[in-house]
Amino acid sequence: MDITCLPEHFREGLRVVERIWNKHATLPILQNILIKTEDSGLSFQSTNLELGAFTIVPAKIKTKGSVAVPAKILSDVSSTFANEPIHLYTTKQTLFLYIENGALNFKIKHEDGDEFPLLPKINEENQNEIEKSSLLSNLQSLLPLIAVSESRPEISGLFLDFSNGNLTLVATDTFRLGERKIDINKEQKEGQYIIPLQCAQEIIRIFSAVQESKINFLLDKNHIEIRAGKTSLVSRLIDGNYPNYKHIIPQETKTTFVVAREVFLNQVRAANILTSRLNDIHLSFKTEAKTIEIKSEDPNKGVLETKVETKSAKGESVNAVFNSKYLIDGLEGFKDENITFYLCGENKPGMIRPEKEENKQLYLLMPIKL
Amino acid sequence: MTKDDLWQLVLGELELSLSRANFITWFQKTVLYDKKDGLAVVSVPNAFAKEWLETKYRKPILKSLRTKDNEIRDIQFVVGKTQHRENGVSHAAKNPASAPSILSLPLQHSQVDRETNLNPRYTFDGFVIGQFNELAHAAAKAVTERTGMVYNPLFIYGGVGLGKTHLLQAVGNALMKKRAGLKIRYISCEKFTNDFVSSIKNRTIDEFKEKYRQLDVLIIDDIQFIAGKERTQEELFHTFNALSTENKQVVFSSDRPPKAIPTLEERLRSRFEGGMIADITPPDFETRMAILKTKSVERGLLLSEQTLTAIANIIQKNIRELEGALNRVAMVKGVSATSGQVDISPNEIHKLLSGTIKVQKKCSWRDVIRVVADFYDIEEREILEKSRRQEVVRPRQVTMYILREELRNSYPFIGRKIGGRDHTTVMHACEKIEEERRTNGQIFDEINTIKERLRLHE
Repeated sequence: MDITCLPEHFREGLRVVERIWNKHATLPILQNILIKTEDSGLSFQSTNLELGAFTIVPAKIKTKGSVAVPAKILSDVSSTFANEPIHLYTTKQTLFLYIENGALNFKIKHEDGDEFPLLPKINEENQNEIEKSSLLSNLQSLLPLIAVSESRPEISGLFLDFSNGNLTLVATDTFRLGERKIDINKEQKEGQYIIPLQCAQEIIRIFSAVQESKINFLLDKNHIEIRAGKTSLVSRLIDGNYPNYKHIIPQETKTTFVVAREVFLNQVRAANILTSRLNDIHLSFKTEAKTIEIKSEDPNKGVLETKVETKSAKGESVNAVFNSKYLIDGLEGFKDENITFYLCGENKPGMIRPEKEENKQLYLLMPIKL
Repeated sequence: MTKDDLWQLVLGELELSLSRANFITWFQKTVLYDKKDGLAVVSVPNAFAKEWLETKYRKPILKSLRTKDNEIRDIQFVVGKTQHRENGVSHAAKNPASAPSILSLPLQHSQVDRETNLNPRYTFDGFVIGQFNELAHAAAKAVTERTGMVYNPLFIYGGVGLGKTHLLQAVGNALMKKRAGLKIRYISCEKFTNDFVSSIKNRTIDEFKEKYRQLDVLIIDDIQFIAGKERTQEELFHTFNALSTENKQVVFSSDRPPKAIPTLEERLRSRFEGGMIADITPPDFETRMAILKTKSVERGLLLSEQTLTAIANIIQKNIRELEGALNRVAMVKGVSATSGQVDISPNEIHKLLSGTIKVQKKCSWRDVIRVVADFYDIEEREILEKSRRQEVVRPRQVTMYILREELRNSYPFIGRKIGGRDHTTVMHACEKIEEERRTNGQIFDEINTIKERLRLHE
């Protein structure tokens, strides 16, 4: 193999795949990244046998070939490149990959590219196209909610529900639950899938830097492929049924407050500084005064008492105790100027929705029982 | 040769030609799933393995398969489902109710009660009683009447799918109904061990002790898995002592009697035997019919007597499979509550069930000798000969025992077939093996393995 490539292209290829490799794998080749010549350029590929990533970047190819090079070394090497073309080649006599860039001449031991695992091929027929920007921002807001649970694998991932012209994303750790809906304009293939947490994280990391504005989901019984242009991510799906969460979303609420999100969030952050070990923050929703009083107290640290003026208030006045971190996660997950806070009484869940386009987004959180 | 054996041979060969890492990564958890019309279907754990085996190892696998079974022409890889544990949801104990805690969303769980781990589905009402489980049922009932006073511990043992778990959970549920506030905990032996291990790891051993010693009723399922786990045995020993001195009830189940659990500490064994030991044997024909009738009424299925008889004749040793067979017949034939009485011929039922459930085949005395000789790796004729060498005597006695127990042959008949021996020799052999089976874990396992092979023999 003998190719020439620009450093920014090389780095981009490496960026896509460099996080998916397995330090502890029994198979040593899984610690490598596969570099291979293709018809349209140079491909980068990596896998840990749960996830796999693939991308093609532009390069000038003189002779074809493939090599597997340790991921760690390759990322360290790529950070030293000067801004001029890189020359990569192998020779038949040695087991080295030669990388020449300006004055640098790396000679790196590699393994046979043919030994590198192949990525599963997913049926092209069953696919859905999603708007990238809204997918990524919604995914980001749900990430902290995904449970890290070995005893309940079905909620240790993100739930994707393609139905009724929407993609619904759901995450929960049983203390709180987030739901986001994204419109799908085109004709839709219906189905429900659970993707692992790492897959969700990689979608955000990999695709936030690609140019395409749409992302394709290729869906199979056991696997999913997420693809944009020449970059794709393959992941196993979590086997199991996602809990039927719809019936726990309150249908009737007793108290409704509309409040400016940033102002409220700032006060909660302040209160978070002085919470006790439980992270408990005490909220009093006063309907007549149209205010939310916030209090947190740790006998060893101190006390904070503050209040927030709200835009509107309806229903009964009520007191509630929430986990401040969970409340912050929820409020940070919205982008809207105003949010609506619904309450259903003591020891019942609280519900936050954006003031506009109410049904698209939801954050449900359970109170702390003292 | 069974599919599993065949696949083991293939794996054995491939292992030689591959590096250890390669072999573990790609061949672990692969199974020869099906073999039909020259097509071998191999189930693999994930799509990565599928892709790799298809492109890289298709030829060597096929070649290796063909040397053992020349009917195989082609090979296909499928991604198998990972297996789920039956009672997936098992939660650690919650904090005491008074302490502040964040509530959790009432997401639909299985019906399992979090505190007690009991599934309300299992009650005494749904339990069909026959001669085979009479004793165990009576003992369990007695325990619910006079908890901790009689039969402590209650130890129930019996084969797979005969209703041990049902009985254990029924005890728990009945007690819970009778006396609210009683602290009951049902737990599998594996979970108990895991709990213990993690308590050592997290240095919360005191909490662990407290959690189990404050119980009023402790029920541990499948206790035979404690074999070989010495520290868990010790902890269970102390827990048991603490509970029983306060007259708190303890119930165990196992697939074998305490004597036959290998590497069980003597003091624990004697504790297990100190209360009441009740066994559950495979159900007789009448009971199987009664079970089928109860279950079909429960589901609102109307099946003719002849149909039920056919099912009861095919599935003999396992109640769980009996229910499975009923479900399968009902589903495939589209029987439902509204379809009226349905009659399906025995032949058709046999055909329906043979694909999914191991249908017992009739085996002859020759098969038994062959399988036993094969198992102990001796010549068949050696079993029939007069030799008294130790390595032949045991297999010969096991053969006689199995002929008696499984095939119900008469003592004189067995004697005649096994080298023209006297019927008293046979009687002695059967008694001896029966005795050893109850006291020696190794023999118990050997006999079970042989029976299993007999059932699968082709």
